[in-house]
Amino acid sequence: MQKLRKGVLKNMKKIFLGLTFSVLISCSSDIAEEVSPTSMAADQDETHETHETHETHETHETHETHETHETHETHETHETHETHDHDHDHDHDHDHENSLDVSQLADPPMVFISGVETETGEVSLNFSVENLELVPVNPPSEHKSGEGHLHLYVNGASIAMLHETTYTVTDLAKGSHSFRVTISTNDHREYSVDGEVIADSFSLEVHGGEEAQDSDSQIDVEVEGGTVVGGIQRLKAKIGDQVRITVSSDVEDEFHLHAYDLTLQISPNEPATLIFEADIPGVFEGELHDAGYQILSLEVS
Amino acid sequence: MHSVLSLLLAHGVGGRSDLPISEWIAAWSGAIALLLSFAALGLLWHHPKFPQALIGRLVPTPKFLTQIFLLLVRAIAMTLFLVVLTACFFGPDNTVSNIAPTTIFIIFWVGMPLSAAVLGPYWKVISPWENLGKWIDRIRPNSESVAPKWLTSGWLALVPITVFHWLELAYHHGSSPRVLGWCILIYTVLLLLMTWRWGWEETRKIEGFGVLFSLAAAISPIFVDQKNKLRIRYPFVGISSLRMTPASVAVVLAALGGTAFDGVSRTDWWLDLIVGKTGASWTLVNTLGLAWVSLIIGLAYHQASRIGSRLTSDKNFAYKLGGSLIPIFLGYDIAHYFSLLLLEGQAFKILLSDPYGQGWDIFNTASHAINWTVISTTTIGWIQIGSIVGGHLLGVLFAHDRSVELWSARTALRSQYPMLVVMVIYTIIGLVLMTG
Repeated sequence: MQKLRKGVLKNMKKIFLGLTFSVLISCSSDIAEEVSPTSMAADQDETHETHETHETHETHETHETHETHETHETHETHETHETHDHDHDHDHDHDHENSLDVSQLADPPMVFISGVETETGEVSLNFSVENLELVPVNPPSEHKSGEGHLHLYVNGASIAMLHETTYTVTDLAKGSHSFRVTISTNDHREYSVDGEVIADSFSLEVHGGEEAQDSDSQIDVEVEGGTVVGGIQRLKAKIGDQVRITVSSDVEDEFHLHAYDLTLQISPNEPATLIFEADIPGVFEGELHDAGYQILSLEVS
Repeated sequence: MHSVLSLLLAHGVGGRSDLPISEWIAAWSGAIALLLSFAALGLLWHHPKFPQALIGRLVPTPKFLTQIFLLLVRAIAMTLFLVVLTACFFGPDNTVSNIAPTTIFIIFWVGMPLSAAVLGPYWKVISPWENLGKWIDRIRPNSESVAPKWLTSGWLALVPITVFHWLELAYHHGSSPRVLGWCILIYTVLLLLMTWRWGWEETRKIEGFGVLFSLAAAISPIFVDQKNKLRIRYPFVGISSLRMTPASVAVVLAALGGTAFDGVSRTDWWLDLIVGKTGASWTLVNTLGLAWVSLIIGLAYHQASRIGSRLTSDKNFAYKLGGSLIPIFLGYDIAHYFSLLLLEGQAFKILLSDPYGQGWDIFNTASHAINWTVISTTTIGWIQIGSIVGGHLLGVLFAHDRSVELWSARTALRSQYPMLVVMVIYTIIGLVLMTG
């Protein structure tokens, strides 16, 4: 019996040694840090520098309030799914999958965006394209050179696919908002030139709109120096809550919230915000697309 | 608008966990249930009851129709295998919009053992390796070479299971379709080469997935007898018919270890450890974690068996009772992955309509979306607790039945103490992990 006990003890020791050892190693394993594929930083926002820089338009200054709230827009993201290709992909290995490089064209397509605030506190956007014919997204069609549609992002969140040259963004809160447009092929690949997605963007201070109100559940996640400030962030919400997630990073990246399937484009040091209604219960991982690690855990119950 | 990840997803596929279930209460109730059932078994169950239930009864199957049916199922499975393999290389190079990761990590890895536990050994019918192997058997030249020990012992079956776990849980590019494609291709070619040399009968022993799924199938009420006739019997008693080897015990333990690490890797503690790590360092930490958890699971069983061996003076204790690990593995599997199968698994239906990302809509399902609310989180929680506790109860039940068959009542009871300790530990670990 004594022998027996000894045997157990000996093995327990091994187990705990193994445990401690692996924890130690894992803590110090930063040494093995690989050169990660996050160096795509200055990818797409440079394309629009080739033409006019935008002035902030401040034509109207009305202060009407709005009934409907902001969740509206982000929710459009739920409608289309899975099979669509990508907005824009920085991983150059995969460029041929999610973007279409048209550098070889003499007159590559171009896109411009401008907008003004209306009297009702909405933002009326105008797009113009060159060397591209805008065709409807539905019904889906094959890629055809010279055809495509627009992808519109507000504050980094994708909100619409368009073939019209005007669009009105409603329900914006008071404050600064950024608007960005890219052009996409019929099969949802981003047109790009020299590896950079063809895009244009500008920011606008909205004076109307409702006061930015507190969401039921909100969190700011700050990514710096390749990790999350203060460790992985956790947010708890109740079903039906309005959730606000703000992500800022010192490098460009894309934030993705699983299952809800929401994404945010993050430019360096420019916080991007996702506002949505928590309608799926569970624990969800929010992770950075390019850096490739989880930064947020959202628990909805 | 949907934006997809081309990089890793933390757990093969899927980035959704279930809500934590109610903490230690679950663990304690599980442990108490085990102890009580152990006591009840010791008092009331003095004779083995499983072996005589093994025979079951014959299910009449019309020969012609069965053959047509099997042929059809085989053809579908083989087509799916080829579609997935080619999609790995020619489909979109990203985890979510390529059909391969979802099929491999959810439909195959989670769906197969669970469905085999219900439907029986049907992997043998649909397995592409089984079918290719048998085909090679028919065309290969008659060779006199006797299969080497490393092949026949079956220990190599651990390799595919371990590599699979590593891809799923540790390697940062493990869910990339291209990586998966190469792995399938290499595995298939290696198996076929060995079959060419030594025949499929021998090579089958190291097709780890087949080994694992056929062990899971032993629980099913449906089975095929030695005359190749379909029979049914009480569910679960079939474990008694298994002749476990050290290698097959190791395969189940490895599968159990990987599942346990999946649980560990979702805990807050692990998330904080891993945050900010990318690339090789991510892989390294996860590899160590996977090895560490698997080792603990394995050592716990090994240690209990050693004590059991001494108490019964039977040096084959470890694998005579190894069958009790099967319901435990299935319980863990259900607890961890059942919601993945039910929710993220829906993506399979969507992707099947357009396996190569060409904008097809073969089955008219390409535009479907995953319904995340088909099952409530409360139900999921109960299923998780139920499957872990239930799996261990069945494990205890089998171990008891087997030991009263092998040894005198007193020795049998004594032999179960170390096993019981291990089961209680596994249950508590399992339930605590589910609480995240």
